[in-house]
Order: sequence, then C-alpha cells, then structure tokens
Amino acid sequence: MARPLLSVRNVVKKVWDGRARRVVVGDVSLDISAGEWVVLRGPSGSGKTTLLALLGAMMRPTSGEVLLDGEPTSRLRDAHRAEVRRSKVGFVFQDLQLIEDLDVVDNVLLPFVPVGVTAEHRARAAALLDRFGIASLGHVKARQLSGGERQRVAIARALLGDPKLLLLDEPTAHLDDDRATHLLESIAAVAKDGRAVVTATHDARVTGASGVTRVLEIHDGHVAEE
Amino acid sequence: MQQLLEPWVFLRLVAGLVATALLVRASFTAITVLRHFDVMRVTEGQLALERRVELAGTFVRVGAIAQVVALLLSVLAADKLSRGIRGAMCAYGTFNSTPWGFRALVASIVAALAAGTLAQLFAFDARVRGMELARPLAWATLVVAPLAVVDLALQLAFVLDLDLSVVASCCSVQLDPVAAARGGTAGGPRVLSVALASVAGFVSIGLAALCARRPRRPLAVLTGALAFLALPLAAAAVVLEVAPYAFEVPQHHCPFCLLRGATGLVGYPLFGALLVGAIWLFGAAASAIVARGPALLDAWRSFASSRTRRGAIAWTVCAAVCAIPIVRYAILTHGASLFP
Repeated sequence: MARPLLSVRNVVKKVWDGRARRVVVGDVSLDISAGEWVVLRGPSGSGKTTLLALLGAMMRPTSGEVLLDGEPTSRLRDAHRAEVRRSKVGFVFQDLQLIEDLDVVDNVLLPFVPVGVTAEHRARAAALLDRFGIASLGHVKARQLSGGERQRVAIARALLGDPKLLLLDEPTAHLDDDRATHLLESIAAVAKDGRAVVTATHDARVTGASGVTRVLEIHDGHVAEE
Repeated sequence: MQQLLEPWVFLRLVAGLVATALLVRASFTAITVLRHFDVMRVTEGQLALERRVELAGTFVRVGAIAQVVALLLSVLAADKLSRGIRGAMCAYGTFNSTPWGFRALVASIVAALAAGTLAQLFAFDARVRGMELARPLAWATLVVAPLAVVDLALQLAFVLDLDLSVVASCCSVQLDPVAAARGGTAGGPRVLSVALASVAGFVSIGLAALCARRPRRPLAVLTGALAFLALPLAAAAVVLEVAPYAFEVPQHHCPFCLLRGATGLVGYPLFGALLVGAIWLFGAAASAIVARGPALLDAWRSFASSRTRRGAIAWTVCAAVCAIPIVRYAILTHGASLFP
C-alpha cells in the first residue's frame, strides 16, 4: 500500500485561555493520500481551523506528530517549517489575506517574495490565472475584485509553489450558489491533479460537492468519519 | 574597587556575566536533555523539551558570542588600563601587574575558542531539519559552560587584585632582556617556530580550501586538528618574528604592542583573523565528528564548505597581515634582515 501523503498521529493541541489549558484538538489520527479531497465539517469553534493549521505546519501540536511526505513537519524548526510550507503546502485562509493595494499578479507572487521571484514563478502565475479564468484581471488591484474573484486569486496564490497539499478554510463563505459551484469545481480539478486537498467548512454545499472523497465530522476537537 | 568602574573593565565583566549566565542556563536544559530526551517519542513532555532545546540553543549562541567578545574586551581593557598604570606601556604591563592577569587571559582565550566552536556546532544544528544533534550538543554545552564560569572567576580575581596605583613592569623591561640574553633570537626557537607555523598554517589553509571544494568528514577533522596545532605555533611566530619587525627591534617580543597605534593597530586584524579562522576550522571539524547518518551529512556538506572557506580566507588574511611588517622592513632597508 502506498504511503499516505499526510499522516496525523495522535495529535493533541492545547491552548491557554487565560484560566486553564483547553484541548482544542484532541487525539486526532488520520491519513490522507494524494488525489483525495477531504472535507472537515463541524460547527464554529469545533477546532477545524486549528486542525488545518496543524496539518499545514503553521502550528505545532502539544503532543503527537504530523508527517507530510514522510517528514515530521510538526517537529521541524521554524525556518525548515517555513520552507516546507513554501514548497509543499498551499493555504487558502478564511479571510483570504490578499494585500488590497497590490494587483492580482503581485498577490499571487507574494509567497515567493522572501526567496526571490523568478521568471518561472511569473510564468506559472500567468498559467494559474488563466486556468482559473482571471487572466484578464492580472493588473487589477485586489480591493477591486468580487468575492468569487478574490477566492480564485487566493487559490492561485496557494498553488504557485506547486504544493502537494492544498488546505482551504471556509472557501465558500460569502459566495452565492453559482460562484460556490464554480469554485468547488476548480477545487475538485486541483485534487484530480494528484494533490491532497483538505477543506474546513460548515457549509453543506462543500460536503455535497462532486469530487469530495471523504467527509470528517469534527466536534470539540475530536474527529469522526462520516 | 575603583577599577570596576573603569568603562572597559565594566564592559568586560558584563560580557563575561552574560556569557556565563546564558551558558549555565543552557546547561540546565542540557542536563534535562541527557536524562529525558528521546527523539522517538511524541509525548507532550518530549515536544515541550524540544521547544526548550531550541530556546537553550539561542542562549548558547548568544552566550558564545558574548564569550568571544569578552576576550576582545579583556585585551582592550588591559590595553586601555595600561595608560593609567605607571610603568606599563601596553596590555602586557596590566596583565603582569597581578599574578592573576595572564591566568585570566589564558582562560579567556580557551573559553572563547571553546565557546566559538560550540556556536559553530549550534549553527550546524540550525541547518539540520530534525533534533538528531540534541544529545551531542548537550554534552558540548556541559563542557563549555564550566570554562565560562572559570573564566569569569579568574577575571574577577584579576580585576579585584588590580591596583591602578602600582608601578608595573613594561614588556621591554621583562621580555627584551630575555630575548637579548638568548643571543638576539637569530636562530633556534624563532626560525623553528616560524618554519613550523608557516608549514602548519599554509597546509591548514590548503586543506581547508580543499575541504571547501569537496567537503569530506576525515578531511575536515584533519584540517581542524592541524589548525589546532598551527594556532599556538602561529602565536609563537607572531611573538618571535612579526613583533620585532613591527617595531624594527630584534629583541622586542611583545604581542600586545601590536595593538598600539605605533604599529598601525596591526594586532587587531592579525589576532582577530587568527581567532575567527580557528573557530571556523574547529567548528567544521567538530561538526564532522557529530554528523553521522545521511540526513546530517547532507546538511553538513554545505555547512563545512562555508566554514572551511571562511577559515581559509581568515587565515590567509592573517598571513598577509603578518607579512606586512616584514615586507615593509625589507622594502625600507633594501632587503636587509632585522636579525643579525
């Protein structure tokens, strides 16, 4: 059996809430293979975003470990984790985190500014904008985009480094049905490319989307397969 | 106690205190690592310890830099104080004015070299993706921390024993007659030490350059070992050959006078390049010893390449600076030798 792309082993995340240590993610174990689209579904405050951050090496667990491509990313030093995030993980934040005064192309190129943007990055950015149907918006400022366009820019940015793992936090929030359907088709196409995709949501439109391979229910930090 | 208020003395003691405090603090984490660290476990305690190891690593690196800076401040403080001590013309007079002076200086040199090498090991560790080096680094920290403590204790003993009203002996009073009594040092130890230092130094530079191009563990260890031998030989050659040429006096064998303006402050780049070059070469060798396994070796190659390159450049600079007074004298005298 092929090794899973992402392995989560007994991951626990506790946070200090000012009075006591609270378990946000409790003893989660799961494997996700390349080409899978896994949806984490749960109510607000259930630990979806925290688990997503743990999967994407943006946060360290209190115990347990996360292995991406066989490497324990949760135990790497900050500099090496940043390198892993840049090369292997794409992350689409709930609030997208676009820089409003930069144009679309510069927003997409942003992750590679610290290490130097190359002609290859620019060519790839152009190809991604074309793929997501926003090539004509390349020099439009982010603040002038619609909600659906902003989502596509954020996904294009997440895919710029050709990551093996794409993580999306509430991707359909604030989108109407047409735009949500269009976006979910794009995400399904990304998974078909051979990437693992994990989406955190409480939106039923996402769990019912074509291409979703698994839905995991998360409550109070504990995960159960649906 | 008024000597404690001298700015350079105060700075020297502060640097020593910072270095000692940080290294001792890190050594507590090192003890915990040796007792409990197990890279195979992913428990809360183990992961918390891994975070503490990273913090201790930062303490060690800052402490090690402070220890190296402390050596520079030791010499600077002694040099500055010599202007206020009757009879002392350079740092030699200050160090020689109490029985603790040269003991404290030797302790500072040893502690700075050890701390610098330890900082190099931690710099190598920062390039390693995992925590494989936690135990070797803990042992190394436990070796270096006591050296910092001893250095600080000897510095305190020296400074507290220092009497700024004392009439000290100048290097020319003590060193020059000794050299003159040995027949002007035309032969014997001077020629031998210069020959040995030249051979050991240039072979070290050559091996380091080779290791920079093709990093291999045995070569790095050999380079470090040779640099370890070359360092005292180079110091002896500087005292016996470079210093007399710098002052154009065959009997003037004082390394501290090279730090004075009369010689163009040639001692600072000379000893500085010698020290940092040695630290880089020792660091490459020490990291070669602990780099076992494919993952560590991958990280080690680029690290060793950069450190041996820097070491080779630093020692080349040192050799060039050493040559300046000799070449200058040869040009001024149309090739005459200083030594009869």
